[in-house]
Amino acid sequence: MMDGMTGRWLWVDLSAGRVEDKPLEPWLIKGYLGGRGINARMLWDLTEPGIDPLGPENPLIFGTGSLGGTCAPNSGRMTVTCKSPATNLYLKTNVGSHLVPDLKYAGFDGITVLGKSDHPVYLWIDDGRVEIRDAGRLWGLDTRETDRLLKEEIGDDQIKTLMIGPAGENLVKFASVMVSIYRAAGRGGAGAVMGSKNLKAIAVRGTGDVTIAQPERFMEVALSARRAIREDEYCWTRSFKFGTAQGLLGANESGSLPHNNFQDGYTEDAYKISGEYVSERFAHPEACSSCVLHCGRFARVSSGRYAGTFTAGPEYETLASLGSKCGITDTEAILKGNELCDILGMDTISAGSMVSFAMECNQRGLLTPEQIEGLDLSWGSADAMLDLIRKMARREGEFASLLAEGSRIASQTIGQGSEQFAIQAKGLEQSMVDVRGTMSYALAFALNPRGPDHLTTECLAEIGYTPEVRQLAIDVAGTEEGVDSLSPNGKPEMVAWHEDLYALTDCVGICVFTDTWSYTRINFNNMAEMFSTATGIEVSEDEARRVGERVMTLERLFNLREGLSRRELDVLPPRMFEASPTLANGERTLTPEKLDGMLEAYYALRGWDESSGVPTEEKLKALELGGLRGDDSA
Amino acid sequence: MKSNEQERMKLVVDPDKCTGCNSCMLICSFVHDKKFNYERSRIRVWRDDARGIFIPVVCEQCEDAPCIQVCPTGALYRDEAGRVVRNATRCIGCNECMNVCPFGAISFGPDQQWMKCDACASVGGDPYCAQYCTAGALTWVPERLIARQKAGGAAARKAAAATGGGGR
Repeated sequence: MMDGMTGRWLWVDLSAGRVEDKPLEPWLIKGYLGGRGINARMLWDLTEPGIDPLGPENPLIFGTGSLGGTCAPNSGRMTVTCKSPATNLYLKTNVGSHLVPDLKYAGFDGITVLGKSDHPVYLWIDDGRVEIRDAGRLWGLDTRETDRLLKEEIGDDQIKTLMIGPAGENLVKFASVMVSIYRAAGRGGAGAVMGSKNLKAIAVRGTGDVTIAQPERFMEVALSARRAIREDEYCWTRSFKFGTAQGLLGANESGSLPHNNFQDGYTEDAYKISGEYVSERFAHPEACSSCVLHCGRFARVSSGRYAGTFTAGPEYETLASLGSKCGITDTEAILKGNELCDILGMDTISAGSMVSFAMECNQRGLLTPEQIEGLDLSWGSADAMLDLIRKMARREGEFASLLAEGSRIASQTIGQGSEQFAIQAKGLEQSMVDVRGTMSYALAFALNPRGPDHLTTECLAEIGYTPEVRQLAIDVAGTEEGVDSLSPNGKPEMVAWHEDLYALTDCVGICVFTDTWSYTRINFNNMAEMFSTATGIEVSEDEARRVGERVMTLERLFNLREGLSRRELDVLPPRMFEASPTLANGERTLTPEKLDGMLEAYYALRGWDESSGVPTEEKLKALELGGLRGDDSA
Repeated sequence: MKSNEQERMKLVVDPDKCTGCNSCMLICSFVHDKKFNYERSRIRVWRDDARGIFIPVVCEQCEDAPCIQVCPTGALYRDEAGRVVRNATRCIGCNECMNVCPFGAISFGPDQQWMKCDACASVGGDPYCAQYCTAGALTWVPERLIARQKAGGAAARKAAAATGGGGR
């Protein structure tokens, strides 16, 4: 057994009904450092281009970070990887909670699920004993009931669980994998992939050890990183007090809080959906394993129409997606919507996006009353939001079932120009950032291999919110324009740096929010040191960054192997190229030419072919990815 | 209290503040056993996800400690700092202390070792769990100030409730 990691991986073949415990190969560990990296390489090696994401040939991979189960700060993260049914491209979706330590204590760094069961099953991992069990009585149940019954059946209310709800069973394209009843691996439809395999849940109990190669040294680095985050007043106080919605009011003031499906960026009465209001009235902090930031919330509604509602969150993304983006500021209805998404097992970002898309279709008169079964789809209708969430998850009625396919397919089916305001690219609904106001985000969202959102990199430094962060942005960008958010200059450098940092963070299994909420406290250097002292495998700061770049590049290769070109891969929703009335005095801030310029500079910086965006063979060799090149006809 | 006397300190748990991050368990396991394993932790956070409740359970160093009373060999005793500790050579491993503890705060670990919170006396320094409890649910407080601290917290919650705030 190795140190830091377990060095073992659980392979589950649902078609054959077989489980196998295999060692992880040393080159995979050294070359990818855990979590997202190992998952990405496994997905690459296990798949051929063109496979059906909902077919048995799509593997579903759960990978803990290499520092999971230790006291490294914020090390409770896990990456779920597969081919996405929403985009038909690469998908990694990352999730916190408390499952990671138990899985490692049970003796596994990760799980790869292959094939498809002919009946509903769940996986029970009790230390080294692994069983595929019948899940007939769980099928059809929501995630909360599933969690409860699993604990009851196993007879231990402290086991850790992950599961899908009805949305995953019904192959909703944005079905989430819920980890405990609180946390979601939400994006890209991993829940539908799990549903396609007839896998309802995984339950874990771990009581073994994770050993550390150099305990004294590890302790020193890990605890000093914890203190550094805790002492970062700006980051810690706001995150602890107000959660991820700490910046919602600021976004609104700057005119970039998505409103009415990104038609503008200002919401009257936004206070009612702010982190301040929610935290003061409804919620208290809740945290993933080993967390120092505590951005998580547990919210409860104790009176009124939605009394009895409780939910983890709401996150900024949920408050904007189910809230302002649909013109809704009824806090309690949003909490109800959040609860429904969690128990039905759906991504709140995409679910809210489908509602706001439907509302804009209605605004423009593209839907007949029969089509929408008399639903009142006017902006601000909380009832419509809640009704559609329920119906999409169960695919009730033709209209909701169409929406359950995601906004690309829904807009292509509805037609009549609705493609222009489907806020999606590559088939994934954009997260709640108006990238028209921030060029780093625009570039990063276009490049993100899974589609336009903030979780492959979030260049908060661009905003320069403290003098220290401002200086960092200028240093990374190599120009003062790094903190001029409408200038394209310095942005490729900013994005590449942040992408590498995020990728490394996901490999070691630390939460990426530490990267950009507490800049410099978690960095290439101390992550490399924590990995080295935990595992005894020496990795330098430079090597650690190179692993980040290797992972980003491999993810790029996966998408190129699917036969797509840069014109299909590096794209943004059409609306992002229109002017927003609440940004830059209503002037247009982003044009296709401006994005192209940033992209080409980025390709060059990455050592990719400047016109095609394909990594050169030379670059691949330097990253030890030689011979893996995908489609180079692009 | 005389000024030259060592002040008696106590580990105080405020479950209302606990966020369930389990950092205390991870750090406890590691500082004592140099390994990470919840089963090696002397403190345990009990979770009730459905109610959003997280409760750290740890030795309360009881004044009238049932474990000391029940110990047939006199292995358990109270040290000068007020902690309930064990003389390993006298212990016969009979489990009576574990059975009688109302908090489940005494256990036998994965190596069959007797385990109970010693407020980090054996590893030197103030309790690590309290040092690294981000949320302030675990604090290391002079005994004479415990009631003051608790009453202050309760009053603040009442005040918040009276003005319409307060999540729980």
